[in-house]
Amino acid sequence: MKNIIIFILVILSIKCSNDTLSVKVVTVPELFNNVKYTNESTLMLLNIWSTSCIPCVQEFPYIVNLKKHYDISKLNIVFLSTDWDENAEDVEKFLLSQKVRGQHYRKEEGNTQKFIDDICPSWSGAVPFTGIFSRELNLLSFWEGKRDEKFFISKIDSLLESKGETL
Amino acid sequence: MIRALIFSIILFSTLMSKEISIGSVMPGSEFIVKNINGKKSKLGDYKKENGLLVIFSCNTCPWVIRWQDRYNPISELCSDNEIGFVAVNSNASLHDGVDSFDAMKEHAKKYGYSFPYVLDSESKIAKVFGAMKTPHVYLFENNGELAYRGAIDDNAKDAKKTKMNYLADAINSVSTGKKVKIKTTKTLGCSIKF
Repeated sequence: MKNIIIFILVILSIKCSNDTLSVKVVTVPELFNNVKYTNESTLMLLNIWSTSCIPCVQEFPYIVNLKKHYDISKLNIVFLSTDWDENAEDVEKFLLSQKVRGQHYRKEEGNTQKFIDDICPSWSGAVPFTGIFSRELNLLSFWEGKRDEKFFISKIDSLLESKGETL
Repeated sequence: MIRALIFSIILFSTLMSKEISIGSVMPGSEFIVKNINGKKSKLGDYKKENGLLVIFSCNTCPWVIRWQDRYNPISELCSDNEIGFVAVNSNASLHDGVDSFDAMKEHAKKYGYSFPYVLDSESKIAKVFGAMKTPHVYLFENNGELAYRGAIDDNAKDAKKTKMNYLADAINSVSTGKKVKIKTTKTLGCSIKF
């Protein structure tokens, strides 16, 4: 019963916040628990970034722009900031400036090695990091470093094709 | 299509895992690097009696800046233990901008670097090491074999709150001929701009 109530509250809180921005501080298991209840898309793109990382900020608009290429049934975009607590306001300001709304996340401070391995054991820890997950949250593809919009679209298109989606 | 996708993931994973492994001999010893004092030398020339510590670094990465206060103490620890120390800037695509040679000199002056800070002009060293980010350290023993790679410690934000001093422990082990207990670690950093 308790789990059902939590499930309903999570769904409601996220569904109600699609027009507003919410940044939740999470561990990786908490992130995936949150996302799995709400992800209705074929693919989920997880971008790990920081306000003080220049390449992260440079590629950010390319990722935001993907919403124009893919509707929510095909691609869900989730941002996970690695900023420290002292930069929490900067994270929200930046997301708002990029017109990002809905539920997004910030890494809980500490346990960085576990954080990296929980996301992807092959990840070196370099940011920006982008991972594309299936609806069931299996990691399908990932890369480190800044990429352009063309690269993102090419990757997503090929993954959608492999899932039998029409482009 | 699915096969092609799986192949590309495997290929990418293989490329990502090229980082030199523990026990492998230091590559790129013959590569010529230019120190901020203007002197050119081989990377291997920085090795001392008990080994060499190579740290990939840069001028602007927020994680480098946060760990910056530990560079000089680590350099002193290396010096006390007859281990060479060299910081390498491999951000080749930024060498005409924020990571230029002049900017490196200014950065070293600002933070009072007491160790060589060299330009890896074509990212050659980063490529042969398989290094992907800054800051990232590689500690080689006196026989040239890699004894430790990864993070300086477990708290970029605050040196006083570190619980695990991975690199200092590894330096102490290497200099006394003991085995390094924790040989590899991971932490967040900035991608190297090849």
